[in-house]
Amino acid sequence: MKNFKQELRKKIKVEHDEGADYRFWARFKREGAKSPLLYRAWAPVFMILLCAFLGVSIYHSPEKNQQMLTVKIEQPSEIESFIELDRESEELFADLGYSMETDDETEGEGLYLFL
Amino acid sequence: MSSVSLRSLWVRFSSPALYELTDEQLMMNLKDDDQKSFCVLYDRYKAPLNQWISWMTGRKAVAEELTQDVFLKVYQQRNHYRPQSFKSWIYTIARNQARDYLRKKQEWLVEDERSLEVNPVNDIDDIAHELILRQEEAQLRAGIDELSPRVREAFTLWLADEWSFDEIGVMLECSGQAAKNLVHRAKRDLKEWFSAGEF
Repeated sequence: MKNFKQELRKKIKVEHDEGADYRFWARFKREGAKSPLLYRAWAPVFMILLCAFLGVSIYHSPEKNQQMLTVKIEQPSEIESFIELDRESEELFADLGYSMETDDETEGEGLYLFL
Repeated sequence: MSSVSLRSLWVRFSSPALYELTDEQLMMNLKDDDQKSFCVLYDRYKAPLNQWISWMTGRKAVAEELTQDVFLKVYQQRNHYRPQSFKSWIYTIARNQARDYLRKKQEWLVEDERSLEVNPVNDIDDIAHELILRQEEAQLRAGIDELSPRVREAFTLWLADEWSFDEIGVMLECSGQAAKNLVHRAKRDLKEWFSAGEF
């Protein structure tokens, strides 16, 4: 019985192809790593990147830019500096007694702020 | 001599102790994402699995791809492995892969279990063994291909590795005696096929 089995096995033996190993490990590199575990490990990184992208996008959105006003501050020393103020800051400066007027160069979008 | 890839060589030199571990211990390591253990398991089972799938499907080229599928599944499902016989587990995966392939090719038919249980088992005579062994490789492969899928599955499992009939029974979800009947039936069918000269 044993001999029959061994003889038959020997007759129809399938030799393992040497290239098969390389093909398998190449495929393993491509597909094997796609395990749920690895996806889970990368998930926080993707979330952080997504949040950063969204944050930057919102900060630089056109709507936000419209609310920003360019203010030119003229100091006695003739040194000019420009800062951008949102509407809340504009009101705050007005309350503090600073006079402002529209900057012609920016076609009404900016204000002069005189100290 | 079995082929050895660079990856296997690296594992053999860097962690020779892994080759002393049992399959089950290696699987436990693999659950902790130890890829070296996976490499050892691959080295141990690639040849017998490839051979068995080749006999099951009758196609060498398909066997390589299905063997790759089996190992990828082992890696991807490593966290679902519960302590049990690794050999049975991996061969079950392989059997399912082979069955899926055969089903797609519409070669898989459901066998009537009752007809197998009632067949008395007599050890097949030496003349039958001799008749089978006298065939050329291509004829033997063709003969195995002619066996009904379930009989072929039992026969090739019996042939492929050191499986007891009880283990084959577990794999085929039948009793050990039924598995023995299936193997016996395979030999009988082969004998009849070769006697009739249907090749």
